[in-house]
Amino acid sequence: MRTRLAWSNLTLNPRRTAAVVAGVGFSILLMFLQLGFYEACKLNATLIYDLFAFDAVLVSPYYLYLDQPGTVPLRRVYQARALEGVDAVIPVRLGKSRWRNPEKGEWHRIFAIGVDSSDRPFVSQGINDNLPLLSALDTILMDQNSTSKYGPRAKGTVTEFGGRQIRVVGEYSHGAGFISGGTLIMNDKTFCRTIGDAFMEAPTIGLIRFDRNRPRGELIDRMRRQLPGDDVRIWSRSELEEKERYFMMYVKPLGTMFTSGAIIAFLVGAVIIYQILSTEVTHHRREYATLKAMGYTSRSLKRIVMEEGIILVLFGFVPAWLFSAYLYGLLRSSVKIPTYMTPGRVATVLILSLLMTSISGIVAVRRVDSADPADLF
Amino acid sequence: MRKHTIPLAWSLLVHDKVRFVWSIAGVSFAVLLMFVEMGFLNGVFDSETLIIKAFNADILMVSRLKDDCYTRQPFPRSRIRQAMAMGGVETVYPIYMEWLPLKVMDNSKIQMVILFAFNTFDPVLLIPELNQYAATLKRPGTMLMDYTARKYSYGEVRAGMKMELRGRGLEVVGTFPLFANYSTDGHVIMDDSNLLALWPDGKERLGRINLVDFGLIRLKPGVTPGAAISALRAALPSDVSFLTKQEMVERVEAMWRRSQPVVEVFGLGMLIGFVIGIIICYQILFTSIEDLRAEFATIKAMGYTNRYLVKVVLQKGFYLALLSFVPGLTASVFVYSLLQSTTGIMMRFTPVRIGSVFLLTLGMCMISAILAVRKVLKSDPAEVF
Repeated sequence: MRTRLAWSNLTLNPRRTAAVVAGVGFSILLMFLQLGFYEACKLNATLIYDLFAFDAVLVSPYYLYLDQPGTVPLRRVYQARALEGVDAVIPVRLGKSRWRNPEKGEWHRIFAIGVDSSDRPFVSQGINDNLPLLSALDTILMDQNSTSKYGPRAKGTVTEFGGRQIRVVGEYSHGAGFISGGTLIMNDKTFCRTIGDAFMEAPTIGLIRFDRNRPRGELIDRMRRQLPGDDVRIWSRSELEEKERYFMMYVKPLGTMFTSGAIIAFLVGAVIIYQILSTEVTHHRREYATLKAMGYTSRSLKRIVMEEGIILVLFGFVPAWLFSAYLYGLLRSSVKIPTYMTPGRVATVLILSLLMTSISGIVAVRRVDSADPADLF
Repeated sequence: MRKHTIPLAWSLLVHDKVRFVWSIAGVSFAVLLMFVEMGFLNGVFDSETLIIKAFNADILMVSRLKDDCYTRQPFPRSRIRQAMAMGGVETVYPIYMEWLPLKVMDNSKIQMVILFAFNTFDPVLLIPELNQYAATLKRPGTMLMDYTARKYSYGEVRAGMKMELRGRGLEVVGTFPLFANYSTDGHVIMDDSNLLALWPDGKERLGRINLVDFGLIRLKPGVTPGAAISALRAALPSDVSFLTKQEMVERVEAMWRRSQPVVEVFGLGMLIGFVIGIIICYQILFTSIEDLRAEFATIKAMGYTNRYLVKVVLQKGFYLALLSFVPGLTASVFVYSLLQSTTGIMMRFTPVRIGSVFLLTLGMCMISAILAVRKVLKSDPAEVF
């Protein structure tokens, strides 16, 4: 009965209700979008490291994040290899240079990964198996998931990178997130020719793999004690990823930007719902007063108003959810931002939406108290 | 007939005080949202090009490949002398640029920093705080540091701090304001002699001396930048470009637009803010027309034309835009300074930006008014009675 009254109140004026649902829907859409960017940014922060199989890393003491990583002296890589419990230490060179779109001739920066083609540093065995192809100089494997601005990138493409003519000899699919529009993999010698000779003696990071049968925490502590010099640091994989994420989210600070967008969207939604609910109460003042005179309590009338708010939010939520899922897909395919509609996201936004309507509802229903039967007549 | 001392639209808007306040609040939030998203978008561009805007130059000379202020892309110093020999050129200031790990001795933090080095007696940067340090910076082992540098990387920057670059001790003799950005967490300025002293080895040092990143060209009075640029292009090899500051700013901005999806991310936020604004505004206008249906019909019956009623609704939209823009802008001023101080993103207003958000707000309310007004046209005096 009560729900029916709430429903009837809302459907009394379908056009206005539609406008309100659209308004609420758009603020929910905006929350979806901002939280989507927030999560994407978190995922993106470690996206490039996801390519590699490792337990810990050897990094420069002034490693800031992937785009400003510093370098590690090659001799420390060799020294680390000799330590007990260490299976492998693989030097990897990371950096950016200019890629020429072979079709349009424009230059775009791209993130390059330089590895020794006899190592197998990647998680993907497909990529590892392709590395021997790179032993010829000036050849690369190209990320097919790079954004469209790089132009043709299939196997066989010839273009310029870092001032040299290079040829694409293999493909893989990964993405680079906010760091760059794409990635490519090359032999360390090609890397040094195109990005900088200094990298020969100083790779960017050393990927450490431990003996599977030994406890890692202990091994890391021991490595820290045993490795000479203060020009390298050893971080476990989770430490590295944590720092990377923290930097992108709170120092850069992309995370803060998206949080503030979401907060404003929340406030806008709350104001819209408040407006409609308080208009409802004012419009139906006489009716509420009549119901009160008939013996309905203030409390039960307030519930009707709250229910109206919840109905509005749910009607706004569903299209916003569907449209966000569509927008997420668009963002993934066009600008390669990894936004996904996860159950967690849907739940978070739903809870935020209900919270939004509860706050507005609680403020708006106070007007019901002032509906006095005595005023009516 | 149309002589109102107070326009009807105004009275319609304010007659229900509570609803009026909430209407304004709703539209103001949409304005705030547009401002904030636009602020983030511009913050990227503004902070990345701030140093270029601070250059005291009529024309900039940079490597042909330089499209980002903070990526080292040097050109031979001999080009500076060649440019200086040109007729219209008064002088050229060379600037060295270097990325180095900076060790902060107080807290042992080590972090990369960008160094700009030049002859400090030359007025190279238009930052007033720098003038007093010109002579001090000639002393060996001295540097200036940006006090807005990120604390995360260097701790609190102040004069008197001891630093280390390439194993050599330096003292921060003063500070200046610039802005941390997406490329760097802080800026260091030093005399070029102090930068080159970081490479005591003769051969390495010679390599450094001969490579500069910027040449700041000052023209003789009466020489136009356009004419000077064509003359310089004709006379010098094509490994260097000549641009006005504005052109360099545009080049860097274009690089950022190409390499990062900033426009898509924050542009989308702005667009949604705009749509929400339309909807809120529509709802307000629609509700009020609905409530005053009888009154509108009465006015019509009295002989007022549809045109007049349309004018009233559009006017109401206009007042709503105007009245919401002011609190929206005021709130944005607070939010901008809050975000700037807590996050270190550069958030700046310019007259053009304020103007464009105002136009968007106006557009928002006008679109809603046009959508809502159809209701008035339909109001039929016959229905009322």
